[in-house]
Parts: sequence; structure tokens; C-alpha cells
Amino acid sequence: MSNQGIMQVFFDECDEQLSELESNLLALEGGEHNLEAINAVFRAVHSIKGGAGAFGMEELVRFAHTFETILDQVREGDLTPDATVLKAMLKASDVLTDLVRCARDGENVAVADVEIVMEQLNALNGTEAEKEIDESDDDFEIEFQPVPVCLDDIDCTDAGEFARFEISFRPRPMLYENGNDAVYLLRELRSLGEIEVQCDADALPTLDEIEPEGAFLTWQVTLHTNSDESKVREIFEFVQWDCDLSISAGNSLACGEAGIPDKVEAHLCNPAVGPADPGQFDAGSEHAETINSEAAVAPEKPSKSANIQATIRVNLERVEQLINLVGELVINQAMLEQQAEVAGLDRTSAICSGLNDLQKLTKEIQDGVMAIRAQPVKPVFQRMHRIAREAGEATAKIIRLVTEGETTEVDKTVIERLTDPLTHMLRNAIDHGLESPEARVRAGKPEEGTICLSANHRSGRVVIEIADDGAGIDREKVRSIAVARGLIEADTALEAEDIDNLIFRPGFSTAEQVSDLSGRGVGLDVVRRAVEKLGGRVSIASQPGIGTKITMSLPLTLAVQEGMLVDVADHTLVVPLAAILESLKPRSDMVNEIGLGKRLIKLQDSFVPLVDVAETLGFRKAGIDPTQGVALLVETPGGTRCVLLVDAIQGQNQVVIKSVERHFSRVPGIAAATILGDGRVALIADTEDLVAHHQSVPERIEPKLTAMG
Amino acid sequence: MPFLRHLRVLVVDDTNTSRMLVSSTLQEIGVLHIDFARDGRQALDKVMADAPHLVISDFNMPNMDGIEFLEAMRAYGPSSKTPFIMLSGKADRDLIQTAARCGANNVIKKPFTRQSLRAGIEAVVGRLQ
Repeated sequence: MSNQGIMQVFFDECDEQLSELESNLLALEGGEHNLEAINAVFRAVHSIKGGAGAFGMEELVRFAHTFETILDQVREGDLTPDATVLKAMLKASDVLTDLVRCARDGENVAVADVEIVMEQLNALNGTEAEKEIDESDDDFEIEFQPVPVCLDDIDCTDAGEFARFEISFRPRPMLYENGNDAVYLLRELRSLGEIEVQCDADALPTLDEIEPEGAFLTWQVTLHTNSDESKVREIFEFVQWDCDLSISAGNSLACGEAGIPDKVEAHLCNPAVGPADPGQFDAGSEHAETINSEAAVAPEKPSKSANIQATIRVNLERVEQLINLVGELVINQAMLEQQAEVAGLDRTSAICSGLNDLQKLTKEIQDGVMAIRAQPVKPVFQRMHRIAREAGEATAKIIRLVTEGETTEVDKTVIERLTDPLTHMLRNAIDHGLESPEARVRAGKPEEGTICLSANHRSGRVVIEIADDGAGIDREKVRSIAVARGLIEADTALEAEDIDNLIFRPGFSTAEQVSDLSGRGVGLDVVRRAVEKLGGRVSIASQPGIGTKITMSLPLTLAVQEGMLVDVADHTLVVPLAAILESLKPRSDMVNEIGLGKRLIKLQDSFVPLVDVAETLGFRKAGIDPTQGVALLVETPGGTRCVLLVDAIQGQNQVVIKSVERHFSRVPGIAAATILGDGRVALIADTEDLVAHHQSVPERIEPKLTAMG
Repeated sequence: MPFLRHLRVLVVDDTNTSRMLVSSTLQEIGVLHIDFARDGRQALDKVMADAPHLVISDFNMPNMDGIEFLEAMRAYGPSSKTPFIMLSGKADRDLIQTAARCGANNVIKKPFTRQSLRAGIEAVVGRLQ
């Protein structure tokens, strides 16, 4: 393997070690004073240092060395891992993470930070002088006196047991007719030892004379093995009447006998039996993104044995391809089922019951493939510890971040896109949720604020909660700000829950001065949008004086979606089920015209704008009579409610999402496409886009959608 | 060195990076049969089952470290004389003396280069090529 390839492995391994490092430091911080955790921490830093040294990453080695020195003292019991020491170590692990990233991306290192933390570490290390001694110790190091051995001896006695067989093997046509293959037999021979193969193709006729089902090749095989002749004969046991075979024992192998030309050998060099792969424990591809998928059901608290579960690394592309294929399979299966129905086949017929089995299998394959992409949320959660530390420092608040359900598995893409909203929510909770230590003490709470980050599966979705024990939402303040920003009228009657939800509205920011922390000019509306883009929902619950809890519910995967199939002017359209709050049949007294062709629907006590989907997408020139259609009440990521008017509802279905942007430019009002059971293409509506266009432009969107249908 | 083709080497290290670095150097030298273990315990099983001709092991590993592994290996008759080369980041007087007492054949300091690893192996098994 090339150095470049090994370096890639090194960086992958660094990630694992860094996360190991952090989780063990956190365990120590949590009061678990066990030697095992300290050893694991030491080993992680030590391994990073070792690898970095091999690749000449000096900066990384220098820092890791300083870190390691302190860890060694802790390990030896010379230094007690109290709060101060652990804090410095956590900071050091952050710097180490940065240094690894810098080494990987070739970025420049922010030297100041490194030096500061190095000094902090050195300060723990008693005195500078001690460090000097440490280094001078290296100079005085004694060299190991190598103890030579004679390997020739060892080897030749071994080699003496090797026997050599000369095998001549000429298959007859019968051998192939019976489903055997000479290649397999030769491979099996190789499993006994080293083989040298020569193929005699002299009997091969020219192409115009060749008998396609004939057998013309003869192989001469020299086998060096410590197995006896019966083992060799065993391989040919089933084909001995279908070939001309002679096996003769040659001289035993003298040590260092010259081999057959390398060329022949090279042909047989099959990776399967070649030298073992050093990455056999996590054997893998050299580059490309790899995902690490452990067995689907992971225990809540992984035991030590769970850590060494057998895993393989596979190229992500292969998994993607598999997922695509399964998508096709699902469609194909639905198509067959529909055809069977069209053909009027009896439900009890063999074909129909076969199709039923197929459906079950397809579902299982789909779940299985999705599980490959599933990854525990642990890495993302772990990153949050650092965010919490940094945010705590910036706001001078004392924070304890508790994480639960780290082994909960979610689709890789969902996890990737989860980091930003989660970071934002955490910062928000620290900045706005938790009170200052003084205020907490005044309120009779412990100085330390607790934030609990948890993940779990609930009815086919993953639910992530972030709860703080802060002051809760100051509803009066939120309300007055919302009024000041023009989000609500001064006299709007709002339930407590509605007020809480105002903080997700665009243009809302409670911080009187924008702190550089959660501020950054973006509010929680961005979080909401990001989560809803993933097909998720965000909700908030707050109790004054007790705390605030924000809950995100996300789909397990982005590759399939639950959708409502609707008719829109002779087209079938899919509306994401997650967006639909309810569907109803409008009565004429509910519809109110407000001019400019705009209409409102009265639902309970509020008026909701009506969007005629067919008209907006340009399927039809004029809108239909709402009482003739079906209204779907949807809520957009922005929080606005709107009613989508469609002709009829066909039903609810799971759809495989196919991007259209690869083939068309972005189509307004359309999120993606899917293939229906009957093979037709249906478009998936982008509810947010539909509503936005309806609000901003009175006329309809003018895409050439006819090209799609 | 013709015997290299028959030489069975066991490489023991808890990191994939080191295993790969060692094995790629061994392959360069011409060793064909390389097996791996990621800690002393696993390595000991392999020593007993496969009787490798040469063991190259890291010192700092979980479960069973290099010295413990060496001691166990020496205590087991068939492997009591198998050449053992230890790799270690910490190569101080203590460790070197312990390694020598336990019967190591060489200690190579980590981080190693292809050259230093090769030299360390040659010091034990004689010049290669």
C-alpha cells in the first residue's frame, strides 16, 4: 500500500482515537477514576504521536508529546486528575483535534493557541526543569543490544517437511459439462501451499476449427506443500473420471529453491489468498469516504466487547449504488403488483402469493440496506461537548452537558446535516436558556447549568431533544419583541405555546445585544428550516423557572419518503406527508375571495390562504372551484400555514426520491421526482416553494413543466 | 534472501496505521506471509496456532502489552526461541532493560522509518538481500 494510502488510514484512525480520547476524558470528568480510562486516553495520544512521527508531522508530534508527558504522570499517579487538570486536558484534546485536521487539510496551524495550551500543560507538569530532565533522559538512553538469530536454520527444518508434487491435469469436456471449472481446482490446490502453474495451450485449435464445448488445455502444476498426497488427490476426487490426471511426489523442497518465472505466478496472485491485509480488522478501501456500520442493534451502553465488534469499511459509493438499486427494486415490485391486479389474477394464485413474498423480501432488503447507511449519532453528540465548553467559556457560565442515547442510529446524510442545527440549538440554549451562575444561585438552583442532549427512536423516526434547566422562555419579553418586530399585532391573542414558537419565526432574535455566540445574525428560524428540509419537525416546550426543551423529530432516511399521492389536472403529484397537517373538503361558505384572484379559506377561527396547485404550477390556466377539489392544510418550514388545493387524493404511499436537478435545472415548486408503481414519473411538491411563490408573485410560476410529465 | 519467501511474520499493533507501515516495509523486503494481531492476547493465540518465524510487536497495547506478551510467549515451549522485535515509542532505560531480561531480540524506537525498521530487523536476522 502506498504511503499516501497509509496516511489516509492514519487520519481515519486519528478520528477514532480522538473520539475515544474525548469520551474517556469526559468519563474521567464525570468522576470515573479508573485506570482503564486513563490508559485509553494515554494510548490514544500515544498512537497519534506514533503515526504522526512516521509521517514527519512535527507540530503534531511536539504537541502530542507534551500532552503525553502529562498523561504519563497521571497514569503513574504523580498527578491527580482533578477538575483543573481535566479542563486543561479537554482543551488539549481540542487542540490536538485541530492539529490533526490541519495536518490532513494542509492548513496553517493557529500557533498562538497551541503554544498557550502547551504552556498550560507544562505548567501542570510541575516545572520546566522537570521537562529538561525528561529530555536529557532521552540522551542518556541506552541502546538495545540486538540479539541475532539464524533464521536459515529455523526455516530449513520447516522447509524440509515440505513435499513437492508434480501434477499434470488435463480436463476432458465432461468436466466442464458437469459444472466444474479447472480454475477452481487450481485455486484449491493453492490453498495447500505454494503452486507454480504452467498452462500448455498447444492443443488449442485455431478459431475456425475450435469446438466451443471442447477442452484443450493442459496444466502442469508444481505444488510445494506440507500436506500429503491424499490431500492433493482429495481435491480431484469429484473430477477424476473427467480428466487425465497424474500426481507424482517430487523431491522434497530444498531451502531456497528457485521458483518458476514470476509471470506465471503473477497470474495466480489472487488477493483472496495473498498476504493478509493489515487492515483485516477493518479491511478496507484506501481512499474515498468510508462508513463504518456496526450491527444494527446496538446496546444502550456498549460493553467492552461491543467496541471490538467486527466491522468492515466499504466505499460509500457502493452503498449508494446499492440503495439506488433497491429503490429500483421497490418500484419494480410495485409495478409487478399493479400489473397482476390489472391482469385480474386471483389473489390466491401462485403468482400473487409469490408477489406477496417478493414484497416482504423487498421491504426487508430495503430496511437492511438502509441499516448499512445508519450510523450512531455519537460522533455528532461528542462534538457538542466541545461546543458546550467553548460556549461556556464565552458566556462565563458553568455547564454540564449530558448526552443520552448516543448509539441511536440515523441515516448518514441526516447525521451530517444535523450538526449545524444542533450546534446552533446548543449555543442558543447556553446563551439564552441558561442563566448566569449568580442568577442561578439567586433562584435557588445549583451554579452549574445542565443541558441534556438525547436521541431515541420513536415510531419510525428519530427524536432528538435538547433540554436545559434554565429560566424558561420569558413570554412577556418574547411577545413584546414579536410586536416590536411586527411579527404579531399588539392585541393578538396567543396561547403560551404559540408565544414559545415565535422564537422560530424569521427575523426574531431575543438577545438585546447580538452576542458573537448564538447570534451571528441568524435566528432559530434557520434551525427550523434546516430541520424541516430534512423532513423533520421542531417543537418547543418551556416552563418558566424550570427550563426549555426543544424537540426535533427526523426521518430515519432521506432516500424514501412518505407521501400523499394527489391528482392535479391529470398529473399525479406527491405531497410530502410530513408537511400535511390535515385534509378537508372545502364547503362554499368557507371560501372567501379577496381580489387579485386570491382566496382565503376559513378554518376554525383563522383565515388561511388558498393555493391552487394546478394553477401555480401552470398545469391549468384558471383555478378550479374549491368545493370541487380537496384542500390540504400544510405548514411550511417558515411556519406559515397554507391550504393547497388539489383535484383529488389517490392515497398514501412510500416513494423513492429521485433528484430532478441533475437532469433539469431547479424547477420551482418541485422538490424531486419519483417513479410510481405503474412506471409513471410523478413530481414531488416542494410545499415551501409553492407557498412562497404564491405569496410573492400573484401570477403563476412559468416553468416548462410539460417536459416532465 | 530466498528464505524470505517462506518466512512467516506476525505483526502485532493496536493501530491499523502501524500495522500497515510495518507490513508495507516487510513486503518491500520480500516477505510474503504476514499475519496480524492487534493486542498481546490475540497475538499469543496466533503464536500458538501458527508458530510464526518472527514476531514484530508494539509495546503499548490494550489488554496485554508487548512485554506481557513477550513473557507469555517465552514461557510457551515452542515459541520460547522465536525472534521477537519490539516497537516502542517509550524506549527508556527501564523498558530496554525489561525487554532484554524478558528475551527480546531487539527494540526499535517509534516513530520508525522504513530504514530504521529494516535495520532493526537485519540486526536480528542478518542482512537482507
